[in-house]
Amino acid sequence: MLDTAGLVILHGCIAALLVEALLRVWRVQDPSERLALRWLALVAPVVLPVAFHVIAPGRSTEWFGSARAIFAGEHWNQVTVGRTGVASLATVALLIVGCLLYLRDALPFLDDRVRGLADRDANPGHPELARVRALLDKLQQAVGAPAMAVVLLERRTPVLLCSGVDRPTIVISTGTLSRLSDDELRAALAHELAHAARRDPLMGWLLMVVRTLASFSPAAQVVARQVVQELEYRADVTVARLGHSAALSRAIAALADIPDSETDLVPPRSPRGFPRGLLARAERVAVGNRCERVFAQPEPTRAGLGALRLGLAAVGMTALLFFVV
Amino acid sequence: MDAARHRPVWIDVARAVVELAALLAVVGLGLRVLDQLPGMTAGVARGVQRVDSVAALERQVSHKMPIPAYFPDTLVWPPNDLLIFGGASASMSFRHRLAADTWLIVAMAVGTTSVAPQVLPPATPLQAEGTTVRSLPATVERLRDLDGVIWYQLTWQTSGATRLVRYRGTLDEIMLIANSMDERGR
Repeated sequence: MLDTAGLVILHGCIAALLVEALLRVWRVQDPSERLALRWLALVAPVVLPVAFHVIAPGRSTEWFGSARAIFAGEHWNQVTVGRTGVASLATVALLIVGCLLYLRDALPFLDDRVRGLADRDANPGHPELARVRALLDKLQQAVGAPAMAVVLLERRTPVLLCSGVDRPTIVISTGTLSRLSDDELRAALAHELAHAARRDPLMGWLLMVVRTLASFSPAAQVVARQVVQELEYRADVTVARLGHSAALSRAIAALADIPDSETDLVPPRSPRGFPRGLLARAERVAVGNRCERVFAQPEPTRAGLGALRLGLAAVGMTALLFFVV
Repeated sequence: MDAARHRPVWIDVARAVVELAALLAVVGLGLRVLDQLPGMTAGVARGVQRVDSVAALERQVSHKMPIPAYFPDTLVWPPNDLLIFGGASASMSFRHRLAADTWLIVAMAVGTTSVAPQVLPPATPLQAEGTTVRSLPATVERLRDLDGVIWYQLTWQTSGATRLVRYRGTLDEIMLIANSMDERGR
């Protein structure tokens, strides 16, 4: 069991690094291609060990590890600390880190989705609802989003989310409306509509399923966060193409300063009980980078090249990971 | 930007393939180097595992290790080095009481495969002839190791394993040692 977990962790690290390097070497700017490559780094380490086990059972033998593998984690058990091998120790340590990272993100996600964020403090008769509806109606066609329900929450903290797999809903709070100008609100709503147009709420659930399957792998948890960032980047690019970059940047900055903001426009905060110091600094840097990035005009990948590069990366990664045991 | 858009697609494809191949080569090389480190630290060949008892060795290969009933009293028991490669090849090295060098190596490979060279010190074969060990066909060889020392080596097949004995003494003694190993390995 520990060996299998160790292999998934090892494959996860290699896949994540390989994809990170490919994004840089190939200079991939297209948000959809970036997202597809990140998904590859997330899913391959979970699927491939099982597939290899079925297709090539001989790969699990010690002979393969010694004679054919490029890298065998088991070899690191020759180096011992006390009486325990380094590979086993590293696996246990990384397993704990992976579980903590998983809980850090999964608990707030499940809290929001399972308990029903929209059902709390909803005010269907609020006068501001008409303002939001009017903006959404104007943006909907431009973004290509389906018809959206709107839930307005009577709450001082900013809330702005797109949720709902079957029936896409924009959840917004009075706290958000009071802090954003019309321009900023338009950009922020366009961002949420872009999520709905791409069915990102469904993607969020799929992501959580994969994260749960690989909840012990720190690499999977980090890559899952990168997938979320790519989803956000893709929505930001849609807003930028509508010409609302500056307003979106201002909206992000305005909402990022408020503690307990519940919006995908700012990076997720650590739940209570997790150390804050360094993370808070990292969050500030992430907000700064995001504000700058909304002005980027990514060059779309040439037709067909993205799919081909994804296929090449999948084949190359499979070939490499086959010889890592 | 425009130049990039107007160049033929195959150039982009070829570039992607070459860059991916180069990246995979670099990652593969890096992993290979990382894989060598534990062996270098333990002073054994890549993929070779060193264990500290005969019992641990037998557990790892799931097979009884052949131990000769005739054991020259010039040699030291227990073995000074126990190595396993690929979960199927294993060797035990015994030191001479006075010289402190390895004098006898008893090795085994589970199944019909030959003993992996990784568990044996490198040596050059000089001469080989057929013989018998406990009525089983065997090969006796003369070898020269890296220090120029001449060794005798006997290899034969029993039910379920290949056996190998390498000895630095006389041919008569290595035959006695090999013939004292019974079929079950003990």
